[in-house]
Amino acid sequence: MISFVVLIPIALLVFCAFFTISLYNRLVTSRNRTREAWSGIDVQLKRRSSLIPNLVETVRGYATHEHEVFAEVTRARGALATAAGPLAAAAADQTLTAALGRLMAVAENYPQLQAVQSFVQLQTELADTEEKVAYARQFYNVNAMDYNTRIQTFPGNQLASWFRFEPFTYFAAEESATRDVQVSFARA
Amino acid sequence: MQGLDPQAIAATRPVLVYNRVSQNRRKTVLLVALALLSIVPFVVGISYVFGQVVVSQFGSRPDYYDIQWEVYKNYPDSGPEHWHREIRRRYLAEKERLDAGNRELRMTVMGVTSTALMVVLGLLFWAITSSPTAKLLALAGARPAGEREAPVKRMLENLAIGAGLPPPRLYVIGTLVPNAFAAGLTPRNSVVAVTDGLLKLLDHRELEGVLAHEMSHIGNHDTRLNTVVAAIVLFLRLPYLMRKKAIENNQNVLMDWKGPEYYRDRLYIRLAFWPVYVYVFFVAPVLAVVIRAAISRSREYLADADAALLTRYPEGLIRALAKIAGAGSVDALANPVISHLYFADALAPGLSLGVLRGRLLATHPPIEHRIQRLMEFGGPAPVSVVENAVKAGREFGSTQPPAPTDVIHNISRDELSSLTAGNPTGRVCRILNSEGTTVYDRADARSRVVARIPVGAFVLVFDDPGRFRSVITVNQTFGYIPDSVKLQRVDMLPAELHDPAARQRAELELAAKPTSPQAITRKQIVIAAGFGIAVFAGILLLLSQFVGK
Repeated sequence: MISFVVLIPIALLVFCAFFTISLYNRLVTSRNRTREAWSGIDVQLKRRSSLIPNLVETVRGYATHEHEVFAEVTRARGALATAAGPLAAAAADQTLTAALGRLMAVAENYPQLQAVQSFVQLQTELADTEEKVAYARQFYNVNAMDYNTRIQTFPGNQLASWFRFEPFTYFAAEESATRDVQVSFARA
Repeated sequence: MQGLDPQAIAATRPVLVYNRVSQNRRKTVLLVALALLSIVPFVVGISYVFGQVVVSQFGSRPDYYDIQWEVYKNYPDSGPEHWHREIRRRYLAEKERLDAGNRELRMTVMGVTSTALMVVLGLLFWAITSSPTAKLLALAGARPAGEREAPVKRMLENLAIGAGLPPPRLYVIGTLVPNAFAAGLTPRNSVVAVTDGLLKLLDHRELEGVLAHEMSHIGNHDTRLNTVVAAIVLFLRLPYLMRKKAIENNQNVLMDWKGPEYYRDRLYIRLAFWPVYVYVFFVAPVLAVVIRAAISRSREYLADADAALLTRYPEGLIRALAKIAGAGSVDALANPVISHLYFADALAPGLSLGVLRGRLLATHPPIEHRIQRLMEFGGPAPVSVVENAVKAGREFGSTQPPAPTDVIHNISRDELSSLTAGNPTGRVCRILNSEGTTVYDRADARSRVVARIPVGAFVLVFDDPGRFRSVITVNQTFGYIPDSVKLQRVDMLPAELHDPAARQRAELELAAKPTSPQAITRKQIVIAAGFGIAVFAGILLLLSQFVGK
């Protein structure tokens, strides 16, 4: 009888210990996965940034007077390069998309540009990269949601508060950033 | 377009996609558990019958005449009444003693039989697993995607980013019937195949929906699940299939076998075996197929939901489904062995048959149900969208009749022979012999030498019985190489081998993958070791039984 009285609490303790360890490991795995997903976005954003100088140069060859648009694109690109964190990056990405939209609108005024092989190719590549950014963002957000749910539900939240697991921010533009972009678009 | 009523489809209430995903996952777990449970009576029943037969044939029984003789000898003077009582007493005592031994024998035989049955299940699983993706693609008549399909390839890569998976290889099946499938046991060597008709019929967004659906199959490890389920189903159907074949061939060997003691326990045996007989030959085979179809359907719904989640645009998939429903997904050449892999049911008509058989055994849910469930995710696709898509699909179906393609026609349509039959198109292998090998004109080492193959070169190998294998070299030379030449299986299609450009691409991909020199994966070693141990345990049990006597 005594052996049972001793054994049951010990078994419970061992079970709890194993459960805690596996929960902790799952949290860390989830966090690392989300970080990896973030680097996926980073890669695609960099890829997109690297396409822009060529694009600007190609358009500048034909549309020499549109200094303002070129400057805006270059500024937005610089802002994206220095942006840290999902929120800032998302906002900068939004601004850059808007600026590129204006650049493309300008390019449409020059029909001879459409005949340039490299321009058309850059355009397709840019569209493809934009799609890649969208999917990378999707993957990051799904992972971030999974991780955030884990650290905010019981019993993960206890462990998260002990070991300081911070929730991730979603990669999404803020309301204000979107509105700002729309206004600047209207002015154009 | 009977059956697909857009008005009824539109009348749905919204469902959260996450709930749908977890609901389908739970359903799969339940169904797989059911499939595993249905194995238990199967194995226990068969081993019980075996044990009973062995005991009735080889079990010990008290010899009535011996006992009678002994009693007469020991009590020569007592009367017949005493003799009778004494014989009866001794007979019962002896019977009780021997019956204990018989019970033990039956338990042992049951243990050995169930072990052997589980080994059979493992072997089936192994056989299905080792049937390579290349064979599957050959069965479907697929070729690797070329320059023409570059945009589709790019789309697939983008979707892979969204799903967080390595990009699958794209293959194209040369038929105008719109359909697609995904294959590959792990995401790392996964493959997506689409038909030419699908590429022609669908626009960018619709194709994205279909590819996202296939991508979700890969992400959910559906091929692996299918393999497990296929092994279980084949296992449960094995006695039924073998009996059917035996009856077809008029060789009723198993059923006609009567031992010398056959008639002694006949009535008892038949009464006890009746439930087992019914379960093994009638219930289990049907149950297995129904469960497999149900699992397949729940995985289709799951992949649809995941695709909606991945593209965030259920309308694309809705339009694609409606178009395919209009055009019809039935491929006259579709192989039933792989029909469950396709995007839309390749065997049954695109729309539900309405009869019980069609619903219970269909590997895919009816298309209108799939569309309805996608509508529930809140993508407010108006009814006209579905109607227009169906119309476009029907137009496509009538203007582009499914033309016969150059796929292999004579593939056996039997579940059993799909396992045992060799690949009619050969397998691509790499030569591992350090000095290469000689290719002979005939299956004879004294015949003319037609070519020399260096180490590391690729050949297309056909399995021939005998000491030579017939091969086709990269330069399309046909000949024979000795059986002793060491070969390594390569995951490449015959079509890829003979097209120089495609071969270069495939070689690059192969070089990127680390390969073991024996081409045996660790998993296979573990499974083989498991079999070894199981067989060894069975032999030990048998030995201990017979040596102990």
